[in-house]
Amino acid sequence: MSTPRRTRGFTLIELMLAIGLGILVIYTAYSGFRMASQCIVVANRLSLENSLIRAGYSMAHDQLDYWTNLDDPNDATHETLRLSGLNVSGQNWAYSFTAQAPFPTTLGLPFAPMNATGAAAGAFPANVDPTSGASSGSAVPRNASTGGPMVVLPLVGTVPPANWENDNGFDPTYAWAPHDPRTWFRGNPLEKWLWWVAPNTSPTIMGRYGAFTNVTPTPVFSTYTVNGPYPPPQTSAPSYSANYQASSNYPPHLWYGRQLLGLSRAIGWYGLFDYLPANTMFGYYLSFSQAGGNLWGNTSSAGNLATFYTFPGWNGQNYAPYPWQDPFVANPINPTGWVSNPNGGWYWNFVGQGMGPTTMGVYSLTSTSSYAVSNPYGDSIDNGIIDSNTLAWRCYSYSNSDYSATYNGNNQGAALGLQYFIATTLPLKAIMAGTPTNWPNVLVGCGHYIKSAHYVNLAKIRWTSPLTGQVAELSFDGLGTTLRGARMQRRPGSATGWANWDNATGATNDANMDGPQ
Amino acid sequence: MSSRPRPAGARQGTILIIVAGMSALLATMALTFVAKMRADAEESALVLQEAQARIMLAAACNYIQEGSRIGWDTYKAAGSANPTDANDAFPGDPNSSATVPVHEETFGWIDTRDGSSGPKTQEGRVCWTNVPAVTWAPSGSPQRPLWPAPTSIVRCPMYVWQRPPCATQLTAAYNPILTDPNQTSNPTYLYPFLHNPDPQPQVSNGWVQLAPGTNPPAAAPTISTTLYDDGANGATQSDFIHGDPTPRTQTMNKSWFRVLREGPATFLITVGAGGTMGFRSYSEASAQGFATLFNSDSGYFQDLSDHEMRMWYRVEWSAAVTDVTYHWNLHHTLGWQDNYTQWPQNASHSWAYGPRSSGFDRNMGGTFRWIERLRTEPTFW
Repeated sequence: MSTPRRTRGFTLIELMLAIGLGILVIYTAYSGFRMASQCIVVANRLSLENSLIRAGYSMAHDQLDYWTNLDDPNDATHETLRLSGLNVSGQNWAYSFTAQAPFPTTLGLPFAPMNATGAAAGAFPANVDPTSGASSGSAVPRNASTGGPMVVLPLVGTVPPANWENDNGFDPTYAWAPHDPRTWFRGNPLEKWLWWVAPNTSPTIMGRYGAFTNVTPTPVFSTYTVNGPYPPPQTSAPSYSANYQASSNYPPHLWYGRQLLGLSRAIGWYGLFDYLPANTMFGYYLSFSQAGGNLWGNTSSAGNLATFYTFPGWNGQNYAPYPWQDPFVANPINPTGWVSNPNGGWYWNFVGQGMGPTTMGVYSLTSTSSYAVSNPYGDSIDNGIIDSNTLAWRCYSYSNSDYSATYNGNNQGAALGLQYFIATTLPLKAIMAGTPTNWPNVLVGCGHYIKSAHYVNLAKIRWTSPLTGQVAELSFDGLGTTLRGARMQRRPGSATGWANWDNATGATNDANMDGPQ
Repeated sequence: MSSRPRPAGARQGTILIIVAGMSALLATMALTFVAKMRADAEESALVLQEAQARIMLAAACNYIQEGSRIGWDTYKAAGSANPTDANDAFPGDPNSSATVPVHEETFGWIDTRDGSSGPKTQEGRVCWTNVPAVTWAPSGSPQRPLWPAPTSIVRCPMYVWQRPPCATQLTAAYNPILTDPNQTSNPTYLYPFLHNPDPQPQVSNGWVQLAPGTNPPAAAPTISTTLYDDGANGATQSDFIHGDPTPRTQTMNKSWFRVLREGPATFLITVGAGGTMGFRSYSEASAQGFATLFNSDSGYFQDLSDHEMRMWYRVEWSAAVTDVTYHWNLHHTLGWQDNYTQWPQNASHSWAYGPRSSGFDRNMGGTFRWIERLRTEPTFW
């Protein structure tokens, strides 16, 4: 009989050691696994965040090059900036948009058709020969408008046509080359009227060149009086009156002023800067139509120059406030309501550095002021709804952006005004809708404005961590399509898509928004 | 007492399974992580490519601006059929037999004096010829003239040269004043002397660089004209004037731009980030004698092309530059005084970085009326 073999078991100590070591092994493995998992989760989250930031980066560049955040050529609901024919004469900020034949009083927004006629008439007039009233003889464009190269006119050694100065409309095929005399500014920017030095006189701003260059072919001037003293400290001086009138021939130069006046009402202030050459002097002469009037930017007496440097509040001998009382400051958070300037002045439309009246160039006009393409789709300000008057006000106004815009001294709210400007110029939008709540929230925007003669295309990418709420932002200024380039990318009309362009031999290119429509 | 052998294999197998399982999990996670990071890196490479390509747009615009005024020294002498580097005529004397390579200023892509197509010299000599000379893609297209003629194309790979033309040394002070207190007896002590030419070329041409306090040699040093300029044609990569165009390897295959002059002042710019150096196709590179840049391998070129980012823009250049009217107005505090009397043009007390300085607006190269990104690749570029 055999005795069953006893199997030797673990001792208690062995068991405890084995369990302890086993737990240690399992815990170590679990910790490693958990750590690896957490690392991967974090890496995936950062990877997702980086992917969304990259998507935002690409979207920002897309907006920079195609301006789709401001105008979508495939979506009729995103063409607000194509509005034209806006009648803003009832607005107190729009006092300067008076009729100046042959230009209408209406305004257009940055993507408005410039040469439209009929009910959808743009601010730029249809092309008419002002000498005869005929719609022919001064055809615009003079060259094929199929997107080919700009044409240099007049040709070397040739005499320009007789109606060379009579073009009213914008000719997209004409190279604004400086050898062409009609592109030259004529005036004396240093000659100006100082009421406190020479009171009781008509303003003599920029010299009396109205007989040589004008917007109208039949300018009417009045007698003016030059009354010393000038310069101080003289207290009296002989005065004399002079009567000056254009000859029977209309002023020989009409084109320059008409291009400025037309563009200034066609596509907003930013568009004006964008379309005109860098050396433009922003002034033109008008006919005298307001006896004794000194309302600049509206009419000019004695054939003086109407500058874009409006100085509202300047009325006769009343010294004007400085123009850092801007509309954004006056009403920074309620754009749909029209309130008076707290200092009792007018709104400012188009000003420079606020140091004195003269015609200036782009740098002077933008050294303390910024002009932008206002975004009508900014949710934070407009809740997606904006009326055309407010939008026109934004596109035909400036924002104070010099050193004084960094504080809110003197109850002028300059910093608030600048914040409003940025909010309406560069609203940020989510890169996609319906993302999971645990994804980072990424916002993107691209705004276009001009400051100190620099065309700023500012893009921003802002993302918020869903875990910590931490907000980070990347902003950069890029070089890309200009406003005119963006108009050239688009077909005219509504929701008509992109304009095709090719340089193949015999290629027929689409009409675009830069041409007559 | 005897004991039965322990079934050791079972316990060892359990541990093996556990370890293997954990390892598999960790390996899987690691592999996923690596794959994810690789995908991220590839996506980031696209971001980098886009940034580089866009930098090329700025580079191309700068090139067009500079090219409107400078950079042309091959304009034909009277009676010459085509301009070459060898028959440059001295400007101002078209009948001279002297052939001096010069770099004369020009007056814009559209000549600001008469509206003709530039660039042209002060005497009106055109710096280009319309003679067809180069074959560009697509194949079968007629030849185009040399840059910068209208309809011509220029290709600009943007690698960094080993040594650019006319490179000078980085020496800050070639003639430091002797200030060593131990050399107060030296006759040059604390005296400024201009013994050494300043600056000096990166490629030594024989000029000496004497230490402070050292008297110059009695005999003038022998100056190597060859190392200064080995002759107009055929640089040897060792002279001062031509530099060494050999690419620095770490700067290769990054980015390039290419410009088609489609009109007098309108240009079609192609910007790219990749390794094709701006060639549109292998056949184009081959037709122009550059096949060896791509190992004479069309497949290699195609691979480079497939991984490249390209974008197309049209621009219009203008001779107009920003005004300097800042001080044409009234002084904001003194009122009756005109600013221009205090701050005239190029006033000596204007400071270069001051926003109110006339010099702040200086621009010699013109501006751009507009820039348009093309949505589709054009037929010719």
